[in-house]
Amino acid sequence: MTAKVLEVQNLKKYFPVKTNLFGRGTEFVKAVDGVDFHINSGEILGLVGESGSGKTTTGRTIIRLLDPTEGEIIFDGQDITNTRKKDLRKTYEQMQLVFQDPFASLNPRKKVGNAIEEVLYVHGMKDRAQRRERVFELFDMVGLRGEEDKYPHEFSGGQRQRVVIARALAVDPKLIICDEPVSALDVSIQAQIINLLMSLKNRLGLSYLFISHDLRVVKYMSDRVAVMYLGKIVEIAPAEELFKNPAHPYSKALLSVVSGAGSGRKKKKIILEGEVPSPVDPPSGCRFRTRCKYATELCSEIEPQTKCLGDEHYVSCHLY
Amino acid sequence: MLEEYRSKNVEVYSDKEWLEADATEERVPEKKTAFTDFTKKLFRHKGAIVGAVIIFLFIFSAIFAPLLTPYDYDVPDISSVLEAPSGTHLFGTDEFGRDILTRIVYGSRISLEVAFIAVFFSLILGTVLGAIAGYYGGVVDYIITSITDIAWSFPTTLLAIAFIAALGTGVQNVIIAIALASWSGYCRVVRGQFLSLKQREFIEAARVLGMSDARIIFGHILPNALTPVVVMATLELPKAIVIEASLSFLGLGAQPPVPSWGVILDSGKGLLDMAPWVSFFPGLMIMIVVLGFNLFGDALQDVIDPNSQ
Repeated sequence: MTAKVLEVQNLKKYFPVKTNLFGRGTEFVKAVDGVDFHINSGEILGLVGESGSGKTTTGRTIIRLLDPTEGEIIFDGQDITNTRKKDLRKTYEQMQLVFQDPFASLNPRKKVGNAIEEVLYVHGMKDRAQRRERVFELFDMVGLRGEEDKYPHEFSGGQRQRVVIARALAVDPKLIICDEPVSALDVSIQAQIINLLMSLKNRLGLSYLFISHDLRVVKYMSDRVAVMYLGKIVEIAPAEELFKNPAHPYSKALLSVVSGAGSGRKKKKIILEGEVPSPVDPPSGCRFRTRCKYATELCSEIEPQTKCLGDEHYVSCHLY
Repeated sequence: MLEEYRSKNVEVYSDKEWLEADATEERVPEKKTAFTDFTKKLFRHKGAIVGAVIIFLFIFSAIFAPLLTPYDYDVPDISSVLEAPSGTHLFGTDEFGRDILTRIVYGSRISLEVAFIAVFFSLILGTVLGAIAGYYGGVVDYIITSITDIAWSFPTTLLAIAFIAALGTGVQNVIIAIALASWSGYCRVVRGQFLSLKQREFIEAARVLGMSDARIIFGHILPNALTPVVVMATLELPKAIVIEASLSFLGLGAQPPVPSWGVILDSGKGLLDMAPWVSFFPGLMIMIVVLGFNLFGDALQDVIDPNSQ
């Protein structure tokens, strides 16, 4: 069995929406509400779900941009759930983040090469010539050789995302959390970035947590895929298995709208009724029951347990 | 396995188009430096030109004061008391026979010194406090914001007079008083900038890259927050000049025989019916210089942020 690079247990992140007199929360948005998964070394785990399902919050909580409300984050065998901010630098040498919007994630006043040099300096590379050499190496790796001395505004979106990837790679991480890295880019550019991420993964032995709402991209990239709905993972399975035999009614609906998914025959699209319920006051029992056509009384009373359908295929639904 | 998926998972774009898109090159924005664009716009702005010329003459006369006039600013000349403007004394003379033009030219040194030093210190004070409040938030923010609101609620001149009352008169104390009375504006602006900038992804990126708070505040947020502060400072300079002149006029600032514009203005106020030129020219100078700074500051604001008119 391969080593787990990241293990997340019962992760919860609540944001207070109403506070009482003493500044303590009385009502919460339950953005992430009890999420378990792990990522094996060298694996790409896709995390899909519609907007508001808590995928981005999950990513940000894992990398501790947000403090978890509850749960455990075990990275590379170390519990980093409560590591103090000061001591996170060591963790950040192993785990990095690629942001969604490459126009917002680069400092507009710094030449991109210098920005990466600064990262190397902060992480202990004090020799200037050595830093410079590493910057050249990184830019070469992402296909931007000789572009080190430009400002972010001189680059296109795709090129900027390459710079962001180079910056994440500067510290030589094991795991990169990709938070919708291609959804802000033109479709024709998306493939370039995806191919770059794939080749870097193979070359450097990286693992990714790949957050996206684009099923096509996730299917192409991921080894395993987790489907998130309203703060919970409803189904997690190897990509091939999930796209062939989705078990959870939500996954079925989600996958049915990707034309050509699964086998070649025409399948009927399942259109979900209604809106995503408010994460402040989620439905009792199964969270999907308000939009699920198979919902029974049982679904509103008891929250479904995670069941194994064999071969690493887990689902949380009373149907199984 | 992957191959199989590749052939089936494409919606709008065919496989070939989507996966081998490397051939398509993205359009790179035209290379244009922000700086040349900025200067070009500034030079096309009439207010900026007029303002810049006035500011240049003002600074020039302050620096080269001894070369511009044959007279001394503080040596009385009994033979030419209260002479009207003429070829020898362009702006006339005061009750001690001193050349008004000479005193005004030397006086610009005091205005310049007070304005720039006071604005510099109030800018530093306000920026540092605003940065700390905006970045850390919570109790620190609450305390700093409360102090700022109190300082903000007093008219600057009144607050400066209060500080002078505590510190005593003199040019140096005027600088301290103006700096202490006018930092609150910078604090508010910088705090607002920090509040919005610290949410930006490149600041989150800096945090994830393991950078220290000090590095993030001074290296990453501050350079992006300074533009409105610079504009504000150019508009604070004329205010500082007016406050200095007001304090000196009231006898709270520079003391005679120091040729501050406020002091000259004050010395002529009893002679308005006999020798109006003693008060008229320093008053005119204050007006022109303040106008120059305001024109330039407004132009700067227009050029930097066209939406804020």
